[in-house]
Amino acid sequence: MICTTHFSQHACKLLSCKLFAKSARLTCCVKHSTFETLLSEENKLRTQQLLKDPTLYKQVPLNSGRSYAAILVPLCTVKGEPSLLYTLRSTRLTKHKGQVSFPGGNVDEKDPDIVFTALRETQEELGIHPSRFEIWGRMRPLPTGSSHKIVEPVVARLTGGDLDVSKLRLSPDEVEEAFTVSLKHLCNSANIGATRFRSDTSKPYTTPVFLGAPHRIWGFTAIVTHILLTFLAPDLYKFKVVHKKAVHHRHRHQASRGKIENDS
Amino acid sequence: MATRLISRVARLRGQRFTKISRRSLCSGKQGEGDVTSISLAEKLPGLPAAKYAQATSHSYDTHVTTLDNGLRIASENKFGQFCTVGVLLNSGSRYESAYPSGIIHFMEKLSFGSTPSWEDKDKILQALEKVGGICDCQGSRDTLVYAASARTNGLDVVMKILSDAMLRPTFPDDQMDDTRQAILFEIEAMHMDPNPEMLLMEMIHKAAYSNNSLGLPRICPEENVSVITRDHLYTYMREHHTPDNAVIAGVGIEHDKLVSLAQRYFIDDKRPVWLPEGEQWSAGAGPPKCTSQYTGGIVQVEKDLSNVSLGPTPMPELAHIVFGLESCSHKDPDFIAFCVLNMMLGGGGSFSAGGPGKGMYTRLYLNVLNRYVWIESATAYNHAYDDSGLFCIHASAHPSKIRQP
Repeated sequence: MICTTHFSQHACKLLSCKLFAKSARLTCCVKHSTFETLLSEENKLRTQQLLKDPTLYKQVPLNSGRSYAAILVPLCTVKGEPSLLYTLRSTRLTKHKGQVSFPGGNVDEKDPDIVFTALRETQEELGIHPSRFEIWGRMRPLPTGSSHKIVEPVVARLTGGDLDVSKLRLSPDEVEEAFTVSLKHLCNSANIGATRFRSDTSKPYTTPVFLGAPHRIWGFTAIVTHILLTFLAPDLYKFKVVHKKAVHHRHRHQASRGKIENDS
Repeated sequence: MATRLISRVARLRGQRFTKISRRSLCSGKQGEGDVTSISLAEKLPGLPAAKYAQATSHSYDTHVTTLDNGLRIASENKFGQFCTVGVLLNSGSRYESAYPSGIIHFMEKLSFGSTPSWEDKDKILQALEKVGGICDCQGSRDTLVYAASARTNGLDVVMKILSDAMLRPTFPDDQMDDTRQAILFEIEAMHMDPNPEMLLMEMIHKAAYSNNSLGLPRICPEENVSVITRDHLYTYMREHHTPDNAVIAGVGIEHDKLVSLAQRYFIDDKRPVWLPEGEQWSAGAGPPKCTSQYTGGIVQVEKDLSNVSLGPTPMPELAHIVFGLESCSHKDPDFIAFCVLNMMLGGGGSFSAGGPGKGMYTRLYLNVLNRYVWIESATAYNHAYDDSGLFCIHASAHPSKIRQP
């Protein structure tokens, strides 16, 4: 299971980069959808196109020393409303304890592919059998800064009717709690904020944050949620991550008395 | 003595007080009427009826007006000859992410400086002195306050000065250089100070909110002192000194008068100095809202403070630890609970228990300082902001004792 909160400029450039403009063009021909139709066959096929599009798929070059991980982005229905399933990492874990994440984990040598890893980890953590998932596709792999791990999100839909979170068998060593958040809540701009990070070691970046859910969804998980929503519900999810560039002014030694020169 | 006093008071009021003997109110006397056996909830028998002062029937309400461009004006009148007016802005070190940190520190030092109407700070202070007034500017992590207090008849001057300070400072080069020097001195003093509270608060915020909003330094970092220029200040002001970001609050004045003066000096008369000709001072797109993100973390600094004592007695060599957790914002329903927790934990230095009322029965004193002698101080703090809060406990002890459980 992976949840990382420190990013290199890579992951965060993805949010505001031109690749999204292309996806916007692809989705502009979608009919006006409602929350009920988001998990319909029609929307699924349209979303799958975006997930497979190789031009949207920035291949991260394989470097030795980088390890791989997979996370599962589980779309489900809770009380009839399309939702996403999140986990709260246990405090017994060594990394990112107590933080919100999607189910997932490191790629094992024996795993045939990324999708298998994601499903295997989900079964270990939440007790959901892989056969219950209908795989929609994979999102582009995203690098995470501090641990140099490449994480690939796998989008899947949990079939078999409504999900009752209380009936899941959670692994107590890895998962403290599992909770769902409806897509309607996530698309509501009153619940979405943005945080601008600035550090000495990397370029500044801005990430979204989703509030009002049982737990705050921030960091890497928020980025993946944001990307998914732009694919899945482009006309319902309108939030744009605005990154403010650093303000620079040259130090002028000539005094300009009273005159103000603005560079914007 | 009590009986003598009561008899004297009774005589002054023209009452005869023969029934009470001198000793009837003494606790030593036996028999009925023993004063200590009467409950504190009842009146003592035989005393004259007390006349209580009446609360004035006049109550002062708070009035709030919002102008067209978003500027909010609030006031509450009160009895007295003095008034206090302030402009409060949603501006502070937490909004400096895209700027070199330290702009608020600069603005605090340069406040009430040169403007088109007044040549320098001395002239402003002189103008205020004529109406018996003072002014001050305070910047914090999330608010910037320009305030002035003067006699009520000097409200006009006060509003003019406040509007100039907020919207029309000129920041001449010599004042900028003086400010840079002053900030460098302040940084040096902060590092040399045996009481490192300011430094520790910076560090705990940096650890709690790594690299974002509330974790950004409130004191200008040394490397930014020479980087920040007048243009930085104007760009920042253009973004943050907007009418929807500001509240004008006043106490001791009539609301209508305050509104009309605000309209005159903040909007009608002159424009902010960074706006080009023809533009109105209005709410812009505003700065992008930045939600603070509690990340948790640790920041540590190793320092040799063994030479800072000024006199012959060496200062205790102390290691300081601040331990904090996220609390809630001041808008949250749990905010009061955190304040109560802060009061109950209390604490302070082990040498200054103060006495009753100064917190000597708080938990940190009773359970920590009184039991473990090697702890020099333990204090609880609760910082609450708009969207988050930080509750922390600061403790200090000799470095060799740090590892003790």
